[in-house]
Amino acid sequence: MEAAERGTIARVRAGDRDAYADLVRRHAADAHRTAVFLGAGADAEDVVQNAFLKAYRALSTFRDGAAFRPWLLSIVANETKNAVRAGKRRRVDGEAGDLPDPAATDPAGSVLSAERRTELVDAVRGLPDKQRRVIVCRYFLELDEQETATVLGWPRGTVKSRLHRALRRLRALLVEPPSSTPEATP
Amino acid sequence: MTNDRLPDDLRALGRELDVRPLDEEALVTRVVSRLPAQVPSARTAGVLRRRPSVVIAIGIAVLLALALTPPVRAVVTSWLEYGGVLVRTGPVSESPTQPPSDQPGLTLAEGRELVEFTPVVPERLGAPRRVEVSADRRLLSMTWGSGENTVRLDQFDGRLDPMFIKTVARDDPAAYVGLANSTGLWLSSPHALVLLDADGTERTESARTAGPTLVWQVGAVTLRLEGPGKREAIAIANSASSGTR
Repeated sequence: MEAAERGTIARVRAGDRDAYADLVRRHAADAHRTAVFLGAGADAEDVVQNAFLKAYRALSTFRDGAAFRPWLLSIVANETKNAVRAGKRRRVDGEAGDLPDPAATDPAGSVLSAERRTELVDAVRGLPDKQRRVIVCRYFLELDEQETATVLGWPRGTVKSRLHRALRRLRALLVEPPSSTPEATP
Repeated sequence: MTNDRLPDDLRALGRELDVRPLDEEALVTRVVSRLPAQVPSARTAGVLRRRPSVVIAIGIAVLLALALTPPVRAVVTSWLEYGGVLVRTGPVSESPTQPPSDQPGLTLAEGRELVEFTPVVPERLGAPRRVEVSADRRLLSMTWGSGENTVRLDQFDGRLDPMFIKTVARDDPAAYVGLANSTGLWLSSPHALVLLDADGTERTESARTAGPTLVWQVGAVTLRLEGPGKREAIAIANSASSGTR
């Protein structure tokens, strides 16, 4: 996968537009999920489109051999911020972050109880912006620590410490019976 | 216990969040049809990198301009972000009006050294009486005059994390005002002001009531002017030369 992608990028750099179309197809769903989870809402498609155009123009700065996906998703994260900062979102209820609702799934198909899903989504929505972003990256987009650092543009240590604070805050927000078990490692 | 399952539950939740499927082929078509003629092979990055932010800045200005009908239109929303200043509606209670001055006074040259952006000094105000930089070096403050007549200008890099939250009364919203080269935001009534640290946490010790304020941007820098009335504030903003590098 790695080698094939490097080949694709080399072709794009040489002017092969079909190669870029392939790259877009390969990463479109991830880019879209990233935009949606980081708060793009109804602007997600525009954000994704703009991100792919920016990525194309910035490809000359992309280091050969680096991981393309986190680099691309960092551009998506920035474009999402821009869309939000542009004030295009008329916030109805003052809520920052437009995490979508859990899909209405057959209870048998879901790992979580409806109650647990609701309380989790509410708790994550209630996090301060940066803490919510690290939760989104590490758990919803399932990026590893280094990838999260790239996507959010933070030092790795900052990712670690913000994640730690976010989990602590979530635990405080969620109704818990008292527990004597030690804190689980994130 | 449920605590221990939190990471796994979060992952499960992520998989269950409702994301409308994307029409990938339509996206591919839109992207490919808009690709620039220039091939991204060579290291022309310097010029290319700068362009997107200019496009965005113009985009925002256009959006704001479209929202304006002369002379001024109130912003009808419960939440607005403008260059790192967040404006929300809410209760405005009385509190002290003078900001705590816990940083040493500096010369303008010293202040310039400490912050990472190029400060803007409006010609109309001349050299400040006092200059301060916040401990985290994100915020540069200048004051002119004293007591009742103090004019205060705060500035910071508006592209970074938000710096201020202003809480205005619901019936007294902020309004966009036309400036010489851009659009500013005018808050005509006293409102609650609080500083944010880089993490987004409110610095409650900084909370106070701010008087009428003009917020505007010069390049990457967001400026917050408190003290003068609206007409004077606009004149001051229009006398601010570009602070861009």
